[in-house]
Amino acid sequence: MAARGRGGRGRGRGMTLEQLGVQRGEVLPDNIVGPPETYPLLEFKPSQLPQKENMEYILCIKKDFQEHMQNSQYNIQPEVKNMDIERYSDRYQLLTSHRGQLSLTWSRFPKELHPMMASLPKKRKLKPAKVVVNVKKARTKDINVNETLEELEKKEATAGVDETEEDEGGERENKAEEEVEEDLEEVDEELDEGTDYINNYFDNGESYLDEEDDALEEGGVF
Amino acid sequence: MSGNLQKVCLKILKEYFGDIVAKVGDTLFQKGSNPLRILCSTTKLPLSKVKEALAVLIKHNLVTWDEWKPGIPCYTLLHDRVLLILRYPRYVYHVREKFGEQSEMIIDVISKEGQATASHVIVTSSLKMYDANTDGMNKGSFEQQHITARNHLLNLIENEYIQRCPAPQDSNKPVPKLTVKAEDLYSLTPEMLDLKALQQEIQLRRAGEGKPEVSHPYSDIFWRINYDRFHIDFRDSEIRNSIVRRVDPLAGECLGALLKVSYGRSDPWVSVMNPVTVSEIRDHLKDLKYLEQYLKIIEEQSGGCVQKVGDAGGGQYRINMFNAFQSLTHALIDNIVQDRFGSKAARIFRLVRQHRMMEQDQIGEMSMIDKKEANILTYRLLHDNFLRIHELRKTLAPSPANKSIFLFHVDMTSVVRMILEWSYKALYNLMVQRETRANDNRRLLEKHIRVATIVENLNQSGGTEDQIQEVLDMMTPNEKEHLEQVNKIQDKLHVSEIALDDTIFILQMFTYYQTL
Repeated sequence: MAARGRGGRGRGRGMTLEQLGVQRGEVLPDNIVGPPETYPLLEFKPSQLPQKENMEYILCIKKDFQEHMQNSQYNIQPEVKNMDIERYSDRYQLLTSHRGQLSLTWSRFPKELHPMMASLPKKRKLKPAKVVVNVKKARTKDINVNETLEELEKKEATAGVDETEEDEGGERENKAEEEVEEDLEEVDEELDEGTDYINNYFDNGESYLDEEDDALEEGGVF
Repeated sequence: MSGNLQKVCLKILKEYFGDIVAKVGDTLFQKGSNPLRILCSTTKLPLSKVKEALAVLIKHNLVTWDEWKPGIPCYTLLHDRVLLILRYPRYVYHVREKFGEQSEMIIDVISKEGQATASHVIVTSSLKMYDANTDGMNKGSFEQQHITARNHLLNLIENEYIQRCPAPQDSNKPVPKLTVKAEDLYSLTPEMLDLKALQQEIQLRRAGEGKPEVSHPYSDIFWRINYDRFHIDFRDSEIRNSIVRRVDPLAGECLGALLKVSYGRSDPWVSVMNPVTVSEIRDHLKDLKYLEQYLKIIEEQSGGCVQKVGDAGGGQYRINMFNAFQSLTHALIDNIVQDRFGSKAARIFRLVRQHRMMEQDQIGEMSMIDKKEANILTYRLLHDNFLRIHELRKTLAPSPANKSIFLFHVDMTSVVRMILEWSYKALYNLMVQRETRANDNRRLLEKHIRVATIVENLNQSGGTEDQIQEVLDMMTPNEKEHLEQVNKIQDKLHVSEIALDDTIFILQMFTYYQTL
């Protein structure tokens, strides 16, 4: 056995039958082939449980404790899923299983476990939302076109009114334009001082197929 | 840490806290310490549920956390504590025996909450006391109930059965660090409780208001069970009982006194305690006539638990816990071998253990069993890993004449570890069995509960005897009989769990002293 495991050449073969206490010529039991039974018969009957007078009371405490824990707020229930159909019996089940929030002194727990904490950082949530909006816009373009057209018509109508008033406010407007130009110059200076790293040349494709750009629209607006 | 232990922990958590907590606990057991996000993705549960589960586990002192990265904690399951949930009934009973019913209620409340404030404990336990003896207690004594409850709580804290939970230093940090000063651990000063507020809340709650808003001072200080203190008591009673079994109850008293004096001068968890003189023990046992003789007998009979170390002061004795648990474990394992393989095999096992190393022929001769039978039994013990083989060679030179010697011996630590594994497995099997039986008879059990509630309602609303009888008759005699049988088996399975936990306790103590 052991000697064979070590593989020494010519070391003898570990235990001989004589050493194991089997005499020569003795009838040996059959070899066992196959796995042992899953539930072998017990050779000896198990002894009785110790009879203690306190056991009954401890048993009561145990059962009471278990029952209490199963019905307490600490036994967390899975969220109730919306059933395919409303059943009459659901009303009663909801009543029994509804437990609500845990009432704990939260200052003793790590912040992330507090129930009111915002779970995810906002950046992650925003991005996918934006994409969804763009797709929607692209799809509902036809409706938008009609809307914008209506808007433009309205503007034209109001523009006529504006033109009559323009002469009166002409001087004021000129002043305002000058101020705007000054502002623009200031902005330019700021940009020229450094490099153009602030400029965002990257096009993330969001403006592609936007309202103003009708290049790919077949049967465009006439 | 093993597959069996993991299964038991999963089952216990499932039984007491439901599937979600069990799943989170099981993942923590299998994967070790983990932060929240990873737990969430491994368990595939919604984040809010994982959070709740962790909070519950923390509340019941089953999970701790450390700062993993700045601002992110990582949670660790204390799997030993999970097993201790099974021992809660014993804690409660122990306190009842020692300090009475009011203290029992206090421990009961704390064990159900995990961590609780002093005011909550006093109010809830007082109300329970009131519910328990509605008729037996007059109104006057109930007015003072909160003071009685407070005194019991103070007593339990003073005796270190309950300890203060560590509190966060700075609760604004994302990962609060919990600490408690050593001198605060067992101190509840009277000014930390507002007796008037307590009385007010008890009265309001009794009047039927669900959650009256009564503010209590120091509501951020929580208390929990001190497991170690209970284990010291269990350990002592194990040793005492063994002496009582061997000698007589008075010897048990002697040992108790010896232990009491020893705790005065040494740490209760060291393996060998400092020596104590007979005169000191005499102070505790003034009436006992034959103290010296008893101590002598105990020294001989206790299997090395009590040792004589000198003659100063009328004789010096010391307690050796290592030896005590070694002999207890030996006795336990001898019994297990006897129950599994029969008394002859147990005799062989004992022989080998006492002689440390034995040859095949020696075993046959000394056990006084027929040689062939002795051999077969030895091999069976070997096959089931109770015995080990040690191979000896005279030289390494290979020659057929040079026979090697095979010595049988017992490796106690590995045997104990194996039996612990068996115990976990048996525990798991018992729980599975109980669950399946409950599921199989669910309809019957539910019907029984329904009938019981209807009868109770009728009793309260003043239903007539006939009505009650009619409801009771809803259970057919056949069903009643069946129900009784089911309940009986369930009780037996429960009791087996408790008894198995006793075994686990002794084996755990043994491994503790081995590794010390």
